Amino acid sequence: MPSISNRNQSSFDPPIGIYTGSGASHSWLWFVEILERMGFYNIHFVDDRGLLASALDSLDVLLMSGGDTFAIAKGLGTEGSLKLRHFIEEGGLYIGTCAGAYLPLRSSMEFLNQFNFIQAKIANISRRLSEPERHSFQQVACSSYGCEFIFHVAREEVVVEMANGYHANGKKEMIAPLYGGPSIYPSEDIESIAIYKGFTKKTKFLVEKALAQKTLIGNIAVGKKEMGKGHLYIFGPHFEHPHFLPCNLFLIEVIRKKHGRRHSPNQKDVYEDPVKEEVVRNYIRDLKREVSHSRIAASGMTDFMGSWQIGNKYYDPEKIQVFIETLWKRFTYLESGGEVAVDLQDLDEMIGQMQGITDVLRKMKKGIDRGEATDGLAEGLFPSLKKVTSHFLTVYFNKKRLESIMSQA
Amino acid sequence: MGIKVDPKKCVSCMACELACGYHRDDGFALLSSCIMVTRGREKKDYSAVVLKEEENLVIARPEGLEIRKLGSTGEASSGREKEDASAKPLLLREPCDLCGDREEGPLCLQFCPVNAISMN
Amino acid sequence: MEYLSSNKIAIIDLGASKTIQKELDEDLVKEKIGGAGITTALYEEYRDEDPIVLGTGLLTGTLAPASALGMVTAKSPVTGKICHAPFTLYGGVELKYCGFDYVVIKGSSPKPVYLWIHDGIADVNDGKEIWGKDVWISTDMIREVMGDPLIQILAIGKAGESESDFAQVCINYWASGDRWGFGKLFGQKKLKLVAMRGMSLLEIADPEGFVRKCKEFLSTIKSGPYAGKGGIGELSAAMGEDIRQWLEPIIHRHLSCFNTPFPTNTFVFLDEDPKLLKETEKKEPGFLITDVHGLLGYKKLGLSAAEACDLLRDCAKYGIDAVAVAELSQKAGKKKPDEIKKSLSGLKGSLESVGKGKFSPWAPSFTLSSDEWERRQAVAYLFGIHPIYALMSPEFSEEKLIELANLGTGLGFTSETLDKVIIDILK
Repeated sequence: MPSISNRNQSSFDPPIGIYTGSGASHSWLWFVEILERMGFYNIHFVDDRGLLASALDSLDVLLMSGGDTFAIAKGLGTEGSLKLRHFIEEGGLYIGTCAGAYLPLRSSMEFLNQFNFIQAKIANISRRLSEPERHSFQQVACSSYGCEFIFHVAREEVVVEMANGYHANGKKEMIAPLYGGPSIYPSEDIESIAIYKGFTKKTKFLVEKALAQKTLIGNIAVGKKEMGKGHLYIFGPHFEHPHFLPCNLFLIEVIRKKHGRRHSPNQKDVYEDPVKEEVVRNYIRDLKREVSHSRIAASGMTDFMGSWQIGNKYYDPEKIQVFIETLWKRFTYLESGGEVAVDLQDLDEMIGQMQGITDVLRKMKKGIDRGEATDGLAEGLFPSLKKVTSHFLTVYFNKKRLESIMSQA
Repeated sequence: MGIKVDPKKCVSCMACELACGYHRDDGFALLSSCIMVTRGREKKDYSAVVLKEEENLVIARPEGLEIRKLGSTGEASSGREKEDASAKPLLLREPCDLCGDREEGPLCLQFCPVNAISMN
Repeated sequence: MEYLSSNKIAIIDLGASKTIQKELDEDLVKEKIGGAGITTALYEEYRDEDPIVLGTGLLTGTLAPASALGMVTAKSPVTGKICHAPFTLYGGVELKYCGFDYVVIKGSSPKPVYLWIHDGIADVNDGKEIWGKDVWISTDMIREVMGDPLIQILAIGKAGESESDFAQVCINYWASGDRWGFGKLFGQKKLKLVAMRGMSLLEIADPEGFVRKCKEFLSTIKSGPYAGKGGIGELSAAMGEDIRQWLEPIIHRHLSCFNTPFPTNTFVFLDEDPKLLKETEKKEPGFLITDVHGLLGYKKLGLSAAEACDLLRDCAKYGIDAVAVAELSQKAGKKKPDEIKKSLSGLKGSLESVGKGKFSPWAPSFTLSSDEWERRQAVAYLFGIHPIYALMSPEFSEEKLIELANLGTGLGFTSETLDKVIIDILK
């Protein structure tokens, strides 16, 4: 597996927000992974509620990963779109991949039409299809998009070619993973950074290759738009997928090129009242116990071979473990001693959240054993997992940041 | 080409699972194995060997094989499956790569003491 | 201790209901190797508090063939000696992966409790809901409460609670190799069960070297005399008491303990068609035979295989050593299953078949002399190799095990180290 070292880490650590709210799938965890490997610790987690409050005010960068574009737009609403527009116009950097790339593209669909920041057309929307093509898509490989639908012609690896003088670590081409992200027609309203160039042996075609070529090749895979003092970068493929190092490096470079902070650094939570080590240790231990309980209850479901359907998406049991392991593998660091800038009430709350998750998982296991439907329980579970994971990661990155600042001092 | 499991030969020893975990983690662990022996129905002596492939979950049960499409609710052979073409991979148990970087091929096969695993 | 280890020992004080953790000192491993070497040392360290020590061997839970062994080390209430009882199936590997190499349980609890050892955390939990329940129900209850059927459980039944000399610590639903009355010791301490679950990772000093060597050893074993065979019947045949035909009609499947090349266990169906390949409708269709001696004991009483296995099931639920029940029934002239079942509660008497040494006579002697048997058992209990399989597979020699231990840990064990530890634990 390719890895990113943090050897290039500098004191440049802008406040970066990762969207975790309504509609976000698990791919935001990939952003966490690559940012941490590159030594970015000033990471904050923003859900729809936070975004509608004042979370964006203290950020330089907002990362919006994959998921359900419509649910994201609905969750943020008009107020969210205004906040987002203001954030970018005031110098913020918006990076959207997959669903995060669809969001600011032009749409006439309710909720989505609030986010028409880029007047470029989506190439993989059903109105571009002939009637026979349209018909062939109605069974598979599409997501509803108002009276139209978004169709997907290929998955897994695609080749993208850098455009307009951009390069990726000196190279013109790279392989990137595509999981439902947009193909965008060239337009005056978007600067093309990379176009879809071709396929690899690992490309999985969902339709005939000719249609895949027609839909993707030559269209924009990565684009940029200036808006006020800020910028939007949108990526069809998931450049944050941790196994695609050149993509990760390119994405990180976009963040690095973001010069200067718009705001004074938000270090309040770093410097104020670090809680005593021994007090925190007991809380961390209690939290670990609860995470272990969830971890074990989730492992109890590995015999369950089904999936849960929540909205338009399918959730496999392994997804539960993906969230829990994100927490679990970071405990060793939290337990390693040193000061943690954390409100004990926050830890208490997290312990309560984990207990709630364990209860739901145990109920789900019982339901599965009895042959009962558990979709309702799963529907409540995933938002809770997102919430507690982002809560935990906030504490974790606070500690990392504190240590990093201390060592630089 | 892929891994084939004969569940009637399997003695549920988990050697394949640990071998796969080693292939992924360079240490001994079971969490990232893409081949698993299900052990949840101990009192009934009922178990299966499950293999996670790129697109499917192959479930080798004593009574026969079931292939379930990942990111869907149906069986791959039923033709009724509804696929989520925008599903993102879960990077915990990665699909079987046939131990592509090992000269001697899949490790699970080499460690099965009863030759229940073969290549097809 | 960096390799093949969680590097942690849990010290649990049942009296105070408290747990502390210690690191596993690498020097202790260099000196005592692991398994019975270290459980014995820990027993000595805490002997004033009448400890029960749980542990795994140095190679337990690895790709080393038959690395399935976990053990209970304590003073036997029956023999008065410090003894080791094996637990296999998936119990040994689960202990190894649940975050502790060793668990010292000292003192006694004033009220029923159970230990919940998970992911490097050892909790003493209230056991009042399960106290009084049989082994099967207790196992089911814990697994259901925690939501995971993969939890491995060392439990006592009513025999242990009532402090019978023949009480056994069972593994999940089945008989273990406890022939020392450790079930009574659990009962005296008001310890109903130990539940274990964990998903840790063991680092290896020389990963590719270790795995290559394991593969070599496995291929030697696969061409050995037991290749292609399996089941409790084969064990009996190797002991010169062939029961294969007698048992055959009710056999459902032969099952291995973790990573053990020969399946030493046989699942029989008693209430369902043994040839059935799909999942049974019945929740409890049969029984897993893990102890050949108990089965042979009932056969000697003239029972049918189904009657014998039905009795084994009752013994496991009650948490009593079937070997003792069979022997005492023989002595008392009881030959009817119902009669024997009724005698489980309040069973008394003295046994011929009780172990004389340190290691449980659960592992048959086959054709070995007692000295050979004892040395081979000592080796198995140090490295964590299935004690029966170790006897069946002499080609998996001491030299090979030392070689693996060195590749795995980089600690430079020698045959002198091994000799010294063996003398030490046989004292």
